[in-house]
Amino acid sequence: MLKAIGVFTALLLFWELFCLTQIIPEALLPSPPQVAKAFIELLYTGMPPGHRLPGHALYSLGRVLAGTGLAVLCGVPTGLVLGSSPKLRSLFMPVINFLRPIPPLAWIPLAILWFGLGFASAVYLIFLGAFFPIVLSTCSGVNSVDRLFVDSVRIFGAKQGAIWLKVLLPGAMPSILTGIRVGLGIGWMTLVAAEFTGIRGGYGLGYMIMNARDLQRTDEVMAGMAAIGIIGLGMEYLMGRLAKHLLRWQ
Amino acid sequence: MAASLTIKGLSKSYPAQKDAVPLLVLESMDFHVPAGSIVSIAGLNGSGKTTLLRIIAGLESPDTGSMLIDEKIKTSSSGRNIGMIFQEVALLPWRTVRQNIAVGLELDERPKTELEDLVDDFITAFGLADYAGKYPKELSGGLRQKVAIARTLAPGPGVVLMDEPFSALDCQTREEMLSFLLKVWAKRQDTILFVTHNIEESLYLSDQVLVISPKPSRVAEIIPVTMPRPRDKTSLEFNMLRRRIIDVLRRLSEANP
Repeated sequence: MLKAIGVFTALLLFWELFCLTQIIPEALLPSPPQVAKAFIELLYTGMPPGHRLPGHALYSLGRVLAGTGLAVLCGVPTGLVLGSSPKLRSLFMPVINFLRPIPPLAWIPLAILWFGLGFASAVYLIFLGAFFPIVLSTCSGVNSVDRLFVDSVRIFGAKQGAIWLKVLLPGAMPSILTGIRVGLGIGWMTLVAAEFTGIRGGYGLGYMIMNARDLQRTDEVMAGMAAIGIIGLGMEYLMGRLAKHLLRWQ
Repeated sequence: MAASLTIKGLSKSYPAQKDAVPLLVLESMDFHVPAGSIVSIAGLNGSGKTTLLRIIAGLESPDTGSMLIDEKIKTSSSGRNIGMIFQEVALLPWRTVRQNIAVGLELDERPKTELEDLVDDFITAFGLADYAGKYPKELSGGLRQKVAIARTLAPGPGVVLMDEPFSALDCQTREEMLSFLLKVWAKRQDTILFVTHNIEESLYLSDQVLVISPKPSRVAEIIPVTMPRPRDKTSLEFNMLRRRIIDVLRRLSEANP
């Protein structure tokens, strides 16, 4: 932990020293103290004024959690079913492999047409970004579960539903959690881009960064980016704790 | 409640790969395991012993033949009232000792209080109280097999199948587990069908030893073991029976090189 903080501090120092050389004008690359000052401004004044950083962050978080949550609710059962049925896998994998490489951002026009500007279209785009990694990780997790474990509950007369709940779901949990982590990351990237294209409510980190860019406040653009990084770190920490708790048997 | 097990004309073959002929693994197997007895199946490696147990357990289906539990024909895999202990310990790694013992009872949809009481009884009787909250990876090989036995016996199966359950254990632990199994059996009088390639193990435990031939397997000889328990492995009778089984296996091996 201390070493990681050391690396982080060293990078900030390098950035500060680079800014002192003034190779890149201050308006394009503000120094770390200027970004920190902008961060505090965003916390108390907001961008646009009155729309403060915590509000933007909460709206963005809500969209990410709703989209990723929906992706987990749909992706985990889909992965469980596909993972345990070679027949269904051979039928549906080509469709998944066709849809998967289409970037979620390419869906933006359709999302706006179908759901309009606002919460639903952002959640839909995040869902698309997070769904496929979760399905594929769950599917591969199910495949890696030792068949002996399945036999050990079939001997007690377990039906397919019980096999999913008592063996395949917990057995695939390490892969599922990896899929959710990847899905959250993609969901977050998708969200900010989706907010660039227009959010009606006037809240969202992507929306805030676009506003700062329009006013040529590079310091606030970078402070917004830092806010995304901090939230990302926090989410990664929470996911790590969750994984440690759920996988304590490993 | 211990039940009898009867196997009649059981055959199993696996489909041919490319141009090869289908592989006949079991051919017209017939035998009977009386209720409350221990019967061992002894045979050379690869003689289809595990396949036989998997068919009886309902994990695979036979080509022909029937299976009767307490003289009633059983066809579907569910409702067979059979428990099985596998060669490799198949405890669910994400469940604690207590949760592993409970798994069969949960699937049996037992009321919560009955389930808790039964699990507690097994934990106490099997000396697992100190390990109830531990995960399988935290246990020794012997303890894991104890948990596997408790898990299998908890729902009260009519017939218990054991597929070389102690083969991965060291000598000392194996001896301890054999004594432990006999102690449990003496109290409960379960019907046990025990597969092993260890002749001493089969003679130490069983009321009967079924010697099976190499593939395609059938019952070549039924050897009753009438010595009182606990058995002395150094006794003359024990060693004469041991010699007899070795002779049968050698003869079978020479007949099917």
